[in-house]
Amino acid sequence: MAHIVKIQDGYSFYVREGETLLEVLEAQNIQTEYQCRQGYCGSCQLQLVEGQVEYNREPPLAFIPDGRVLPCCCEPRSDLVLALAVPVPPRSDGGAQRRTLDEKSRAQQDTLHSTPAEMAETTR
Amino acid sequence: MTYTTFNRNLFDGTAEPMFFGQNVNVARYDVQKHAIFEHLIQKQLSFFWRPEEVDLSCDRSDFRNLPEHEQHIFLSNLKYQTLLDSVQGRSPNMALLPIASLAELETWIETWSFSETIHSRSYTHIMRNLVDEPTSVFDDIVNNEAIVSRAAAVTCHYDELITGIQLYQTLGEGRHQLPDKTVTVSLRDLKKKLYLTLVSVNVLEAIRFYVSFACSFAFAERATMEGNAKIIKLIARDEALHLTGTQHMLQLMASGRDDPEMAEIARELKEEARQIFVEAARQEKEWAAYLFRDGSMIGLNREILEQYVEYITCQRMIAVNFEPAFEVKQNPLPWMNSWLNSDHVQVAPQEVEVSSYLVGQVDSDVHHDDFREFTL
Repeated sequence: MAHIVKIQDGYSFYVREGETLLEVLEAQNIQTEYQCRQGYCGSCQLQLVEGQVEYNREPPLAFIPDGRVLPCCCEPRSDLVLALAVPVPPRSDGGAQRRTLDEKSRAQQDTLHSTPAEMAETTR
Repeated sequence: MTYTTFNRNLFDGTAEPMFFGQNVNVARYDVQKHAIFEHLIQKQLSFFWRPEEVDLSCDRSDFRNLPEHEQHIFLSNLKYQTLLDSVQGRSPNMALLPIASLAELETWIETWSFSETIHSRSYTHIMRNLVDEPTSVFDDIVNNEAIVSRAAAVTCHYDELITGIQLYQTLGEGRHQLPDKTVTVSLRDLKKKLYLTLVSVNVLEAIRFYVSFACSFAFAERATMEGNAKIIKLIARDEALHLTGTQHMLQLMASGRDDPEMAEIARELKEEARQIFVEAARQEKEWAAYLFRDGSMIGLNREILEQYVEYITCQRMIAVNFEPAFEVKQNPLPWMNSWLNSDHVQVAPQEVEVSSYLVGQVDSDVHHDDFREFTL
C-alpha cells in the first residue's frame, strides 16, 4: 500500500514506490534545499514529526540530529508527517492528490527570483 | 605533555577521546572508535581530482569581455577563496594533528587538509589563465584591507589554539614565567579554544565559502567563466564533505559521548559559539557591499547576496542545533542547488573538457603549423 506524506499544517499526498523522499517533495513542487543528493552534505535535512523512514542505499555520512531525516537518501516506510522550516502555501482542494498543472505553473512563477540566465535573456 | 611521534605505551585506542588523549601510535584502521571518519576518508579519496583536468582557455577571453566592475567581483572572490584555502591547507594539520588521539581522526585531518591544497593549486591554475601577471593579484591578498580584515577573524581561533598547544606540550599545565610575560596553561582552557576553533572552521566552510560560490555560479548561469565554475563545483563538493566532518566533531563533542568535559564546554560556550556565526554573517554582508561597490552583475546584487548570507547562516546554525540568527526564509538563489548538486559533477572524461582525453573534441590549442596549408 502506498504511504502518505503529510506536511504539518499543510496538505498530504501519496508516495510512489522507489522514490526518495526528496523526489516525492520535488514532485509536489515543494522547494527543498539539497546539494549532494548522496547523503554526505546534510543540507536537505528536514524535521520528521511522525513515521519511519529507511536509508536503503549506503548509510548517509552526514550527521543527522535526533528527529530529523535526510530526504535525499531515505524512503518512507510508513505514513509520515514532516515539518518544513518555511510553511507551504495552503492548497485550495485540500485533497491527497498531486497538484494540478495550473497550480504547478503558478508555483513556478512565484519563485522568488529568476535565474541570472533568464535575467540576461530579458535584458538583452 | 610532550608530543611524541610514536607513543610507546600499549593502550586501547578506542577508549581515547578525539582530542587531548594519548598521542596516536600505530596507524591502524581495523578497530575504530568513530568509524564516520574512516567513511569520510574513503569518500574524499573517491573525489580525487586535479585542476589541470579542466580546460580554462575559454575563460581567458570571457574574462577580457567582462566589464570592469564584474572583473572586480570575479577577482575579489578568487582572492578571498585563495586566502581561505591557504589557511585550510595548513591549519587543521598544525592545530589539530598534535592533539588528535584517534588514528582514523588523524588520517581524516590529513586527508581533509590535503584536499584543501588541491583547491589552492586550482586558484593558481585559474589565475595563471586569466591574468598575465598573477603576482599583483596574489600580493593584493595580503594588502587588500577588505580581505585582511576578514583574515583576522578566520585565523584568530586557530592561532590561539596553536600557541596554547605549544605551551602545553613544552611546559605542561600550570603557571609559567616566560621572558616577556606570565602564562597560565590549563587543559580545560585549551579544550575551550579547540571548541571555538572548530566552530569557526565550521563557519568558514559552511558560510564564507558559499558567498564566493554564489558569485562563480552566477557568472556560469550566464554561460560565461564556465571553466572556472567547473572547478568551483569540484571544490564545493569537497567542502560539503569537510563541513560534514566538522559538524560530526562538534556534535560528538556536544553529545558528551566522546569526552564528557567537552559536552560541558559546548554548553558553556554556546552563546560565544553562536556569536561566531552572527559575526561571520555580518562580515560576509560587508564583503557583499565591497564586491558590488562599483555595480551589480546580472542576476546578483548586494541585496540578494545579503539575503543569501542570512539564508545560509540559518541553515548552518540549525544543522548544529543552534537557534537561527535570522528569520528562516526560502532560498533566495534556488538555482544554486543545481550547481552544488554533485550528481551533476561530470566525471566521465569524454563528457568534459579534459585535456588528457580529447576524442572527437575541438582541440583549443592552435600552433603555427596548423596554418601551413593556408594561402592568401
